[in-house]
Amino acid sequence: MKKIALVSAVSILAISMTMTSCKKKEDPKPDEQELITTLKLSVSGSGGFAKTFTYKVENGFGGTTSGTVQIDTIKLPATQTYSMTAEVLNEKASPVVNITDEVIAEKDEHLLLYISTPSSGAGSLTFSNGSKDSKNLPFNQTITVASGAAGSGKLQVNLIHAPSDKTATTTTGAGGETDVEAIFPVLIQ
Amino acid sequence: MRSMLCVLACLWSWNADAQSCSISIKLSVVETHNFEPVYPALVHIDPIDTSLETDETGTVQLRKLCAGTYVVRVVAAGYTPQVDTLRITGDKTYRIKVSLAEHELSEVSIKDERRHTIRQVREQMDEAALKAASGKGLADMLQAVNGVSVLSNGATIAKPVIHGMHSNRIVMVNNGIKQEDQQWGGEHAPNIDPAIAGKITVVKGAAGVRYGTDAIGGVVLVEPSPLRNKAGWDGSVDLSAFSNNRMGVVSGMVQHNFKSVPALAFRVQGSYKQGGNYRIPGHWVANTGVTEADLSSTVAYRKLHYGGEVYYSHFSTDLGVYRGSHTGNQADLENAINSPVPLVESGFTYSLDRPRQHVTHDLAKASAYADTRMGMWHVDYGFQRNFRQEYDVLRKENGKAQLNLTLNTHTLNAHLDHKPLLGLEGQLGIDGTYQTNYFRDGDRLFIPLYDAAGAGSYLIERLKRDKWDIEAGLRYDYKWYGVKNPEGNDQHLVYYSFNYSNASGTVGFHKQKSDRFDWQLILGNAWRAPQASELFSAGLHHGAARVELGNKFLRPERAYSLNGEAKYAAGKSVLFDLSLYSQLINDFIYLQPGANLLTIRGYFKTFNYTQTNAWLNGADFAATANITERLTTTLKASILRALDRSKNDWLILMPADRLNGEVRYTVSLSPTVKDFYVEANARYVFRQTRIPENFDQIDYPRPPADYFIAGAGTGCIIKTGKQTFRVSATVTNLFNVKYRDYLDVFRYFIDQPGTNVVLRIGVPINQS
Repeated sequence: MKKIALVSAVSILAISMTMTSCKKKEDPKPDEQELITTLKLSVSGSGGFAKTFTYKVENGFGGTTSGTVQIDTIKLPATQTYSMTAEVLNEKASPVVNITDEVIAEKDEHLLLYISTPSSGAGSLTFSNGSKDSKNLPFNQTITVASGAAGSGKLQVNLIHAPSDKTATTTTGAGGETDVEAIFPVLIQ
Repeated sequence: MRSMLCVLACLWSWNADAQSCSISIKLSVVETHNFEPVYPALVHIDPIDTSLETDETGTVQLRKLCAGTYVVRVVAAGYTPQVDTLRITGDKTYRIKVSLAEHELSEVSIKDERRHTIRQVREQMDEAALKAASGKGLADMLQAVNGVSVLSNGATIAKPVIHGMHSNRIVMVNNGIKQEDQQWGGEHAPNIDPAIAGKITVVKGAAGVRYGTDAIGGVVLVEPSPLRNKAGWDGSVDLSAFSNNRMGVVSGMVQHNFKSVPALAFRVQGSYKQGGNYRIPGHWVANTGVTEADLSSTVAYRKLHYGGEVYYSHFSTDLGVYRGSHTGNQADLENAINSPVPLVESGFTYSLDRPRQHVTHDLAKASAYADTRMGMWHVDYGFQRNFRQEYDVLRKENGKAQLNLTLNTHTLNAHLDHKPLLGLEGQLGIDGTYQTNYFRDGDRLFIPLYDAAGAGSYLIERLKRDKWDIEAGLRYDYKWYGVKNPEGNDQHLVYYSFNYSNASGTVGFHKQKSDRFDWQLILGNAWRAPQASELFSAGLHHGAARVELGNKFLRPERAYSLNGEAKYAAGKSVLFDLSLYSQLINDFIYLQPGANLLTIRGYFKTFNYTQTNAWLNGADFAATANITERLTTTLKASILRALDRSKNDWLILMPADRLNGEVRYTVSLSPTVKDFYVEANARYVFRQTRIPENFDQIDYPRPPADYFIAGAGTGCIIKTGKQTFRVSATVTNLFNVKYRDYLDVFRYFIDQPGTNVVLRIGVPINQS
């Protein structure tokens, strides 16, 4: 009996010591990893034409709602040629983090895909001369875009990490993992 | 040892009282600590020159005795001589208690079966079965038990499923301490090295009274072999090689008992495992290597009436997760599902890339026992630390893990196996736990910070008769949670506190109808508080491309299970074992599809934790036939029907019905080559067709087709001089069949592993 009492006492002591020794430190804060909130397309054309279109879904996966959502309509004059630059940002961080440079640094592992619906004719956008990675395979962070005849459509932009085929023109063909999927309404006037 | 027993009962004094020489008495010879009958035993009564042998219940009956004082001496090999004085005045049963002699002590102290007095439907894997499967993971091993299936993420992460229940609905007891490492989710395997076990028991059905909260579906007990009880040392080495992933496993053990201090013994045991990418028919699976290093040590001091033990184990593993299972959005997932070949191709390698996991589990345990007039007291204290790191796929390598979770748990159990009281044997005990869970600053949010405390007390009593016994237990538990959940845009911490308490009960009845037929019926009960991830989860599961949302208003789950088992021996050669179960789970927690959520990666399906009333019915059937002395066949069948009672619909993700068959031919070829066997086995798993009506909205594709896989094996024990070697070769998925299993999370992406040839050598050292 004495031994039991002793063992119990030692156990209880051990527990209480461990419990009290864990003096409350500052609580750790979780952080959304490599969060992207925003895709920005900067379009410039002849005659000083310059516009930026934003696709932003702020809340990542931290909550039950999408947070602030901003989806611009891409409005462009018809039958023109523009140069376009894509940027990705984390606007939830303060100050805002521009992730574009990081993506450019890892361009062999990334691919931007632009898919227009319709693919030609009125309301369409067609793409050419996309920028290349170090192996001269498509990267498309900067690209030339031509607007079709007046009309409306959609533009889907995907930033793909570790694509299995960099020359693909569809998401299925490209494989890999989607980091951004932005669908902009398109209005060509 | 029992065969060596011989009991001598001598009547020293003979004070005959001529008036009443018609007394009938029973002498019941039992072991001091556990009251197990001692038999066969010879009882010799000098004055009347009568010799009697005890029966299986350790009893002899004496008739026509005269009243008087009788001195009975019991002498038995392995037992301390016992002298009892009996004053006989009328018809009565006398109990004679004999103690095991000190050098046989370990036989007493490691009677774990008795510590788990609760009557349950249980199935055991003994040392031979465990050695035959050495090198496998715990869940894989347990698949040999009828009614157990496996929930897996490919070939490397697997956890057991008992009667359709897994994860937090079953309890794992590792060397007497409830293992705390599964709270974090379905894709986490139990961190236990099966090589520590001398015996693994699967308890089926709700067993909350003895094992506490969470024991809804059942319990897995992992118990080491008894420590060496004779002076000297022994050991063993086990080697296994797996062809499929080119894995090698080595496991060794050394134990010693001190000659100068016979009560003192120690054991050191360790395992190391390294495997590379595994192979499915036609392809290597990228990034699926595994490394595991485990060590355990025990020091025990065991005297007849008291003793203690200190135990420490360390488990450490690094494992890769198939790269292609990490998807960005719904379209990526569908893309992977619809691809006829694995989307990420690979060759063979041992090296690991992201995504990968590093997990360690440490357990320190101190226990003591003491024999008193009231019975046997036990105290166990355990401290566990589970540390888990997940290295996610990153845009840019930073050398860091994105998840660093620590779960610390203290457990304390004290119980008394009390001596018979009014004919009742039983156990009463208390349980306490204290737990803290935290992550590192800057981690990906997975589950919030929390502290939890629990306390419970229980009483189990058993009434034993010749042909039947009845058992009843009662328990009360209290559980508290304190959670700090990050909320809102700035992720500020909001504090929540939860209190749950509940009573559980159990009643079990066992009847030995005849030598050939016995049956038991158990009504069990258990409950489970919702876990932190069910309450607060707010994240994306990359493997399933869906967002899971916790629910702070969940109530505890309560389970009531009725298990019946009948065993019947038809003749000498055929044995049937049928077990039927029916389980009601009120407030069963599951995921229900909700609205789609727009994210920067596109729309995701969301799933909300919600509750329903579930009703699970099933049967496990086994028949073993010894066709000849050498040829044995076994057939097992396991079926389950899992209903959502509220919706009158099937529950999702429940194991499909399955059949197992085995034929084994055993023969001893020579004194050198013993127990040679050849066996063939097969498993047929049906397609799960009992799925919820809205399955297509929740999951895609439908459950995979039925499959049939075959295996084979051969082995023997080679004896040269004093040394023995146990060698075997087994093959699983003999015909390299392409198949997928409904309970494998990777069924979306890849097939099950192809052919695997396993060679095993076991070398006992200095073991008699």
